[in-house]
Amino acid sequence: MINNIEKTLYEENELNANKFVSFALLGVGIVQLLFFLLVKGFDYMNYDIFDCVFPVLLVFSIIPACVTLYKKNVLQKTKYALAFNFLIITAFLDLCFSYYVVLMILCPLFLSARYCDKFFTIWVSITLLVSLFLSSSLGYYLENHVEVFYKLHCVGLNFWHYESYWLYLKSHFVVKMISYLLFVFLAVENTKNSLKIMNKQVEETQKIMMAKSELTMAAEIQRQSFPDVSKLNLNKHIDLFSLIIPAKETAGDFYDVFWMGPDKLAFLVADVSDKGLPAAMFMMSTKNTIHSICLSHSDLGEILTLTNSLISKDNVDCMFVTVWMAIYDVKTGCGSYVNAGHNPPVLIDKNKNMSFVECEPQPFLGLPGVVYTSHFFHLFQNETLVLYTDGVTDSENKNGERFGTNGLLKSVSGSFDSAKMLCENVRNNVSSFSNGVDQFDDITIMTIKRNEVLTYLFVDEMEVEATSANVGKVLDWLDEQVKKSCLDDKDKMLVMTAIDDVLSNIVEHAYPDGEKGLFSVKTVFSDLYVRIMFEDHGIAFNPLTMEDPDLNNHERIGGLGIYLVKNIMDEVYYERFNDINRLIIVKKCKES
Amino acid sequence: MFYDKIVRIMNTEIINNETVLTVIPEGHLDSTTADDFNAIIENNLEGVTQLIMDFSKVDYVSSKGIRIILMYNQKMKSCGRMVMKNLNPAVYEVFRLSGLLDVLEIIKDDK
Repeated sequence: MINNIEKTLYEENELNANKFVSFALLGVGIVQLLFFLLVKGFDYMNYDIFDCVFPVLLVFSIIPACVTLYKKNVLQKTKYALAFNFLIITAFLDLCFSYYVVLMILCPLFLSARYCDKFFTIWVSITLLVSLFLSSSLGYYLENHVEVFYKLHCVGLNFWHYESYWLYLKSHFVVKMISYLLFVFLAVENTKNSLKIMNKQVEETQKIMMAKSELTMAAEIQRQSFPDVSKLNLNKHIDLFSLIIPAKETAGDFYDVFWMGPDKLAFLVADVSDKGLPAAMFMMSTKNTIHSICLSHSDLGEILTLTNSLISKDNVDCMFVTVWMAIYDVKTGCGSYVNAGHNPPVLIDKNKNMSFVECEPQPFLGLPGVVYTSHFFHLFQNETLVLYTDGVTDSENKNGERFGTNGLLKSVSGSFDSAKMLCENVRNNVSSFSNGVDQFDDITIMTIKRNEVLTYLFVDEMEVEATSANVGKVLDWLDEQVKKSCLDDKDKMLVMTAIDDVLSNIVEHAYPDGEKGLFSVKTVFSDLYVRIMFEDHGIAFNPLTMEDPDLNNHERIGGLGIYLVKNIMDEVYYERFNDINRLIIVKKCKES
Repeated sequence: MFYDKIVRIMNTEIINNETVLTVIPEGHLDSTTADDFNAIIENNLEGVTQLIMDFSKVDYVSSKGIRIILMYNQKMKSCGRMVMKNLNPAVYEVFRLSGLLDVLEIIKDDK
């Protein structure tokens, strides 16, 4: 492509030069035609020789000029043809009107310089010289041997009258040739100079193209860093689709989807401040940092805290990135998420009710020392989650109106068979909304739709006062349900162990100093898992942040209960939500 | 509501053979029953040098139960031994998670 630039530039120049020369040729033709008509008007000029001037001019100037102008595309050697025509004209004129049109013979020479082709200019110079020599000789011959030319001489046209051919050449042609050579020199120098400028232009253009092609390559590398969702082996539980439309070649937005375990899917959408190449570089580093930390850590809050401390360490340019990331268990439909300064996603429930997944705001990544905590979310059967970046909501139309959250909510309402269709519908709505306006920010959309795959066995809830006397009641109530669950016998008992530890933890810690309070338990038993949610209005306490007990020192085995809960259950989530401590424990049934 | 009538008492069979005390608790050894279980053993521990905990009828043991077990394990170290037997897989798993397999003397099956 870069090599073609040179060719294209020269070709373009040649094309323009052809046009230019054609006009010049046309001009010469018209001038001569006028001259001929004017001269033809006088009686005493009425000699036969002029009758042949007209066809010659027509054949060698006006017709080729018109043909070249009409057929604009580059014909190989067009310039030689044009130059040849010009030479014939000037030679012919030289033959007839040498003293009147002596300057005209320089035309082909200067026009040839327009091509920036030294060889061509030299070729024109030599050919011109030869044709002038021939025309001069022909003139000499005609004057001395053809009667009509002698008559012409008498009426003022310049046919040369010398005693010998040699004398004629010496006094007429050689003098002309010497002055002519000076012009040749000037024309060749001029050509060289033009060529230099042209080469410089080619070089500059090549540089620009090189930078452009590097940018294209960078964009390609970035594009390939986005995972191909179709190759992720997403199972029957989940349908995920994502697309990204950069405002420039490279994007500051990004998304990622990858497996962290057999059922654990991590997905995120993020938006780096700024756009273009700097944002793309920051984006690549952030994306890879998150992914690598996910290889050794499983707690989402911890993952983003670590990522942040790494990327904010040498962040001199104060770039930042907003992230919405989730680690989602595709089997149980539960997951944890962190919203680091990002737009809250839209959750569409099975009845098409839409809501934003809101939580306590946490700062974007890029500021040192921030500790991120994750929140619980769920995406159950036929529910859909829509992640996006502000490029969607900030899109503007011609009147300067924003697409906004209303536009987004409107685009996601309705029925869609797949995540892909929903995703594309949002994209189409945004692009038709902002039709005619340049996209000024990257646009990223990710949709996650949970398919209907499980059967709910039973769902129940109860609320009691948080006293140790009530623990037994709740335990028996839960025992009844666990017995009927899809868990195997061992897991049933293990889950009961965990439940007892959670309950005694709530009763002991939620309401200190003899305060009275309620706590509730909500259960969901499906054919795939058992999910129990405990809620109390007591003091904020995240049991998951408790340090693990020292198993080697059994004298002080504090925190064993929560340690057991974490190890027995497949998933444990905690969130503080509207002054409620919410603990969700999930155990998956073994596949038969 | 049905659960109002339920009173959780742990049935614990006691075989006290002078120096050997065998306790065979039944049901759940959790926060509601751990105190009962503790009291029963305490009342029968006089002069005992070997404490056998037969968990063949125990469904599960929560951290509260583990505390009691650990407490007696510590106590018996000075004056004899304590043996656990017939642990079901769930109880065994909890013991494993708690790092007790090396601490306790566990006999898998005495049949």
